[in-house]
Amino acid sequence: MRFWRYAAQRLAFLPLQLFIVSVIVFFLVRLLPGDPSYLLAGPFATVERVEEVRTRLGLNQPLHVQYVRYVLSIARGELGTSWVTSRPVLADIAQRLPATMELVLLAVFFCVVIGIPLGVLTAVRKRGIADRLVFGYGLLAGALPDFWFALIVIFVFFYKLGWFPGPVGQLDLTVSMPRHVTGMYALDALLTADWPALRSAVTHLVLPVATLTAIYMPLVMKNTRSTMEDMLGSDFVTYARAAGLSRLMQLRYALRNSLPSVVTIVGILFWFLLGGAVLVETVFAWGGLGQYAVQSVVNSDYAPLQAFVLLTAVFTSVVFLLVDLAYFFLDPRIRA
Amino acid sequence: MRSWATGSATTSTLPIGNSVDALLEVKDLHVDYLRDAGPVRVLNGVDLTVYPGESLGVVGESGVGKTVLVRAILGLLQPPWRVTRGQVLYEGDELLRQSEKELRTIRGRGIALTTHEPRKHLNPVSTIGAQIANVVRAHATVGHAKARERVLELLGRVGFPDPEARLTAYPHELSGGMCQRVIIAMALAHSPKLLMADEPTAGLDVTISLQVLDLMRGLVRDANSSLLLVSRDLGVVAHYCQRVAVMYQGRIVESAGVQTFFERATHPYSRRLLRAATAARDEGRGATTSAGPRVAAAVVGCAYTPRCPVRVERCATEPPALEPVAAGHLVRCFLGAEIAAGRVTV
Repeated sequence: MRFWRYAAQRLAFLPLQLFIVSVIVFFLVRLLPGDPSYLLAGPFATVERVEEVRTRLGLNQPLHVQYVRYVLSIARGELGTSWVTSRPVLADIAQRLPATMELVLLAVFFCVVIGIPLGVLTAVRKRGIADRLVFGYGLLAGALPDFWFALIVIFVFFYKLGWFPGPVGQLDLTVSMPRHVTGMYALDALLTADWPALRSAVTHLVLPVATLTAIYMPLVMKNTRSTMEDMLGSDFVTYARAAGLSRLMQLRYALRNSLPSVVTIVGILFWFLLGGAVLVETVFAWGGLGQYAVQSVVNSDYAPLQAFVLLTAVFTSVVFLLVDLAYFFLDPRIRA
Repeated sequence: MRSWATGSATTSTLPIGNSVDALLEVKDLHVDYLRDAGPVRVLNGVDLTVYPGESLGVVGESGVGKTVLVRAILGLLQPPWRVTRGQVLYEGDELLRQSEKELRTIRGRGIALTTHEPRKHLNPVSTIGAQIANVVRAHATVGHAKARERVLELLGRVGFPDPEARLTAYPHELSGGMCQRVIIAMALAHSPKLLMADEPTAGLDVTISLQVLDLMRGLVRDANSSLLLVSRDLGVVAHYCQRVAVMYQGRIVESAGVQTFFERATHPYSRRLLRAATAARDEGRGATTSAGPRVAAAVVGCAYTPRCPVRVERCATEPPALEPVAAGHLVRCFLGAEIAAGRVTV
């Protein structure tokens, strides 16, 4: 009962958040350099032709009118049409979203299963060998741009060693797509027992997922380490130790109290990874949402760009909402 | 001017009684706090003995290292704290050399601890029932039902009127006094031979303080345990302890039976403390706390020299030993015998 009241309180903020996001998205996109009318009309178009295109797109209207029309169309569930692909943005997104999700979810998974244990280990064995190695790595990863790292990874593991396929997308060109279930190729191949496709999809996933994990895992690790360190030095763990509780039990106390903070960082990680995916996808010609967004920027394609940013914002808001809801179960002090 | 002070006080008799009988002996305990700028000496040679069944009160201003002392005894100090010298003997065994595993068998079972700020010392995301059960299971292999039974019994003993209802309470749902009772329940779960109570009443209302102290004393008596009560409050120590040890800047400067202490406190600092307590009581306040000097870098001589009204030359250059002025009455002062005999007035 209390949970639903708490959840309702959190949910109440969502519309306001989304309204603010929609305003920012709309006006930021219009601040981008480049006039889509010129691009669309082509290099040899006359001034009249460009003006015609502008009128057709509604770009000659005042900004606030454009904004109202934009919001109304969203309310109708229309995200507009891409000027480049000439398809409804919604269809484009639905087609590309699973590819990105596959990348992001796998990267989150590896960031969590590697980052949290490493964070705990280095907090427990402070100044041990692992701690030093990991500290150096954390510094390095924080300083490396993900797209650059992706190029290095491709150079080494595809070009030099030939262990993994090159940056040609999600599948080998010779492999046919698995039957559509979720749109995530590896998962679909697994569900439909399409082994050649599964093999191809997984080998193509390795390098981009490894890149994202390598760059973003330290975020989870460092946060886990510092939270665990605080908790291990806290009064209640000291008291547990004074009462003769085992080392394992002390660790359990510390870990359990670190969970809210770790869950928060995983929420933030989603957000970071969506951003990271934009560039990494481009490097790997992934064909996902990130690459779509980059193309839209390059082509001043307003509708998909707005949709992408809006979707990212909605997705992030939902993730943070889930984090807030998780707090309810993780920290009894919230329930009071 | 006081030439007699420099001539005497040569033989340094061991201030500790019969070491076979002692339950806990702390000898010459030194603890440093390591900073980048260099170590700060926090305990500067603490000597302390607790006998079975007795209650000893350690009094001192805040910041003299009382909490560090109890934590050092249990081997709980972690970097940047470091024990640099000394011994902690529990039933004759040296605790400072024991492994974490060996210490674990003593913590909570041989020597238990209660703390100040009890709520901060309870796991905030776990129910008190589960926490006490964990303590019960730390030293006994008991099943779930048996542990629960024991938890209920402990909660009843520390004065929870409806233990069953409190099992699922979280620390933030309890008052400070209630949290302190939970801590006491944990500390007494295994009937320890020694209970160390670190400022058990700090932050509690006066009436709650007295309830908590009465409870603690009763439980310690029932279990025939010893009590090491650390406090800033001389009145509390006078009321609840048989012996008093006064701590000043990381050293014990005087120890005596409570009666002896209140009648014939000898160290200039003890006397000052007594005067302050009396003055505070007359003004209707209860504590002897003063914003005393923080522990500074290692002092060569007696740490009290700068504040001492009867200091002599050697006080600043040479540390006095903790020496008996009467049976069971030890004083760390070159003038101890003179003051005790009334030849010097402080």
